[in-house]
Amino acid sequence: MSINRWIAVLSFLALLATATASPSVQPDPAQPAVTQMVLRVLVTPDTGPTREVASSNVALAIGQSGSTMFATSADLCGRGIGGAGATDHIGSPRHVWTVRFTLNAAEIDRIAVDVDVERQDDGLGGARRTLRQLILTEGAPHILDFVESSGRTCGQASAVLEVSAVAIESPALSRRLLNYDLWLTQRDGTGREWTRREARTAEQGERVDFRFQPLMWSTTMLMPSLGIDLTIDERVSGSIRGRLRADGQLELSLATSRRLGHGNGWTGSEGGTKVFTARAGEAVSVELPRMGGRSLALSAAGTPALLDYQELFKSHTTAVVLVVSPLPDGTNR
Amino acid sequence: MNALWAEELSRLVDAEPVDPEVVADALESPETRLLFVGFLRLRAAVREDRYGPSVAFHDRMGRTLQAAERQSTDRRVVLRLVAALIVTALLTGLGVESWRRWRDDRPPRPNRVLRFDASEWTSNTTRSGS
Repeated sequence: MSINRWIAVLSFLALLATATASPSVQPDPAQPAVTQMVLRVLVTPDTGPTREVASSNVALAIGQSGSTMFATSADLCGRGIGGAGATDHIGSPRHVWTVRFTLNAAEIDRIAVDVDVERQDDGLGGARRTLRQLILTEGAPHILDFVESSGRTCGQASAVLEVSAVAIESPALSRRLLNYDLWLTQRDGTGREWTRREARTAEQGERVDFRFQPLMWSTTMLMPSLGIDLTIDERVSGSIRGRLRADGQLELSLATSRRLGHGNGWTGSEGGTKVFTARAGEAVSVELPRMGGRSLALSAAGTPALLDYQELFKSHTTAVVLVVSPLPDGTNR
Repeated sequence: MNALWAEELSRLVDAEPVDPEVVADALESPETRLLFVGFLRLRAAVREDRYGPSVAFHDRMGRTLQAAERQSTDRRVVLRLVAALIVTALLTGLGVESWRRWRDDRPPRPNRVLRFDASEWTSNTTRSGS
């Protein structure tokens, strides 16, 4: 076996040994961990798609701190991740990141965490340190750093370090199912109401998508003076994540987006996320902001005209009405 | 006894046509007069015989007939009540089902109304043509 092959085998074994290495966390039995911080490393090779090559998890309670490290050789071929010592086998020159998390708050889809990143690059002087105060959506990655390979010995071009946060479900509630009854309501100035309905069932903490059947509007009905006979298509969709707390209240994160259009033209998209709490079975209406945007249309005479959706729907109120009911324990999905 | 006389007197008692000469001859005979008187007594007895249902019979029959009539009336009332109950149940069922469908087609009345804050909503509206 050649020396290069020996080095490759040893590097692989070292990587296996360190990929699951425990990061540094001070355990606090009084407070259970509620959030798991995940440090991921994605490498882009010279050819082929980007892929995840290493990850390290740090479970934290509120107010607790924990850290993890990642090191890679200058050519990005040797890698180590985890607690102290997990990166020692990476020979110089190398890049070393020490990432320290401090969990400040953990609500549904709003995880406030301080991320202290110290980066040491051999041969490039002292360490660089940055402190970020992040509010993360569950599972959504936030890029911490980027490094390019200084050589092409193993075909690696660059690496990205990203962090994400995942809620740790309470064992007593982790298997609960939540039933979502979703209504889209749109009311005009006269009180006339149009509705659409969707129902979903999802596990505790699971985000589930929904899409209402489109609402169709006639411009002749909306604004007869316009002299344009078109059908406007209003589409509302989104996703919902809910979490039943030990006190029986529900934490909810409702993401909603809306599009308006006619023919092949669309106004683009608008949307947002609302985080709130509700009681089981409580009907909560979340009103969407007034419609906006414009699009060009042709009148019956062939004259171009501008459709102003804010004007067309000025008396309309759109809302998503949500009722969440936890299903009894043991209910099959 | 002269059979002809007896027959003629019997007809007389029964108010049938008779031969007066024969009746006159018959009444000359004492034996025949006694027979005639016997006929008259028998007729009188028959005329006074007013046999018919007793008062007790009338009362008993009256009660029986009244009971039967009341039973028939009661049955009609029961049948009407049952029909009314069935119609009411059907209408109630239809009403409840209609109400349930109407309710299922209607969104629940919100206990709370929230709004997206400006910081929670992003618009990426564009101008496009068709």
